[in-house]
Amino acid sequence: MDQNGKIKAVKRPSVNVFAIAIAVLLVVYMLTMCITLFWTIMTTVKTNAEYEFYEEAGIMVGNKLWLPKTGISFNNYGMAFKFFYVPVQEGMYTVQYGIFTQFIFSFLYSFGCAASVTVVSLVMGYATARFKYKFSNFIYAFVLVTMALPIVGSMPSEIAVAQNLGIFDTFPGIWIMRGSFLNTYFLIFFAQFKTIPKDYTEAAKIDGADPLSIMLKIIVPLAMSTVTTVFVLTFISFWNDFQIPMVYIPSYPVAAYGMYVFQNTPIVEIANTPTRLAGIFLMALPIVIFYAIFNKQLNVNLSAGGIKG
Amino acid sequence: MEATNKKQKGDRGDLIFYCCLVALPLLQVAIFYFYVNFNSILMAFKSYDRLSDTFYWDFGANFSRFWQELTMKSSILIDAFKNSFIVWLFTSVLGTVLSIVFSYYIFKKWALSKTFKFFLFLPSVLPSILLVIVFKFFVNEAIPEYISHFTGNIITPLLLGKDSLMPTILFYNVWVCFGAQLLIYTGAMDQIAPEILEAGKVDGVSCVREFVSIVVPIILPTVTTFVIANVATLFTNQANLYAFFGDKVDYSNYTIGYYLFVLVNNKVDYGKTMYCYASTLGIICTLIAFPLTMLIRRLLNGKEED
Repeated sequence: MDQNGKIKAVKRPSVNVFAIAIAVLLVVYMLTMCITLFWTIMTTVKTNAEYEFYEEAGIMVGNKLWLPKTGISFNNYGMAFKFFYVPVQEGMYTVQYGIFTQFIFSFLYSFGCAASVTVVSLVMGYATARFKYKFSNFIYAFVLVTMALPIVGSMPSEIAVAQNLGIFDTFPGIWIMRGSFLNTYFLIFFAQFKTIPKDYTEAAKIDGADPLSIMLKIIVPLAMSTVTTVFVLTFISFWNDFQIPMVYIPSYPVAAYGMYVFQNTPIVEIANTPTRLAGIFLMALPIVIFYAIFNKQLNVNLSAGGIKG
Repeated sequence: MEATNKKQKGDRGDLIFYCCLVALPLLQVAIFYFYVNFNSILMAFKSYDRLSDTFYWDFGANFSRFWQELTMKSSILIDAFKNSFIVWLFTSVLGTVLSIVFSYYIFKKWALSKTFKFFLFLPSVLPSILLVIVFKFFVNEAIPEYISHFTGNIITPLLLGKDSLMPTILFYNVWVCFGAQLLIYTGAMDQIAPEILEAGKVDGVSCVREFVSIVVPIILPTVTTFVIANVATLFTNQANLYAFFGDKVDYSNYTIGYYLFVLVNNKVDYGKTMYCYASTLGIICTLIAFPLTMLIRRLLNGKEED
């Protein structure tokens, strides 16, 4: 009833069936993810004896499904830390690279490749967006064409070319090979630099600034958040990659490749499910911390700027 | 006069600066895109001699090998083409449809949308090898145990059963494919003018109608771009088979992407001997994928114009 004494129709919130249907799907998805990860973490703190040979009512059944019954043990992490190495054949000898060396290789690979992709895409995005030459239009069209044109199986040729140039199996070599602007990041930078008004450049020119100063001191700082986002995204993707380093820098095993080797290792002390899973979790720690630090930056910027085809 | 001179000087300075900026990136593309792909075509007509460690001209050898492999009984290539197509269909088509629907939920900020976003994006942050290993142990060791515990039935570990292996791999590939698409589609949805949605609300359109008739048509250019770019993955997608099984996958489960990778990476058995054959296979796949891309592009662009 309102102030005038009239009966007001009460609008009931309608049940949004569509939203509920999607929510059900999403809850199922979330549960599959949570259960899998929870089971894994639970397994890493069980002893192998409990996991495989736990006795219940005198029958040896193993405790693969439930919470630890004989107490929590972090021994698996210690064992995994001790045996987490990758053997690499160097001439006549086999060199074993431990956990820290793998992290250093991962860092060199990811940081170098992410930096080269970011810088090259930024520079080309800047040049094509800010300078109105016909060649700029050509470059932009060329990137679009290469992204839609599927070229399959060029890896053998790329390896052969890298070997001929003497850059195969070296860090500078892989940084150069990955440092291409034929990617989505070029389009993101292009769009970003295109939206910055020409007036900034003109005003700086009147003040006597040279083109390099205009780029480094005026325009690029305006796009710093995009630069950070692109760098973080590419860093994560390179850090998680194990096949490219395995093929192109075989003498420098990265952490992701270490995980691949670790899951297949025949060493008796660690050839059991709880220790293998503990080792994998241990190696994922740096990237989880990295993501936790840069999570906000990543979400804000990408949500703000979608790619339009 | 002085102003004209200054302007000309400035233009020349800009041009020199422009050339300096683009020179090195263009050199990189010249070598690692143009020359690499050109060399790939040449390699398709060559073979490798292990003794002298050299590639020599051998016209047609790789193509005839391809033909033999294609026409032989229980051909690896036929299986690989078939599997590649199935994997592409699931990850690109089903994955894209689900991604758009999930993105809409997050865009509307309905209940728990932030939590769902976190979980959908998680696989993009964690190393794929970690997820593969965790998933592998879970479906091989935990799921059969849980089923046995609750139903009394004994089942083969899912990645070891002949009939369950491929569906499990497909499930995994869809399970982890949402992260990047989610960011792109929610980004595109965020750019829809609020007035358009408000007008729809005033007219009393339902959520389904808003999704189908307003949101999807507006973000269609973004979806089109993504789908077209995805056609390229038809023959490069390994479906994470290498992460799951290394080079020990049964031939009947090969995809073209996996087959190409194994040909190049299996140094123990092949060395460089398969480089040329892999290049040939790559060129043939490119020749198939290129018109397919154009066709899908034309179809989607037609739909967009409609």
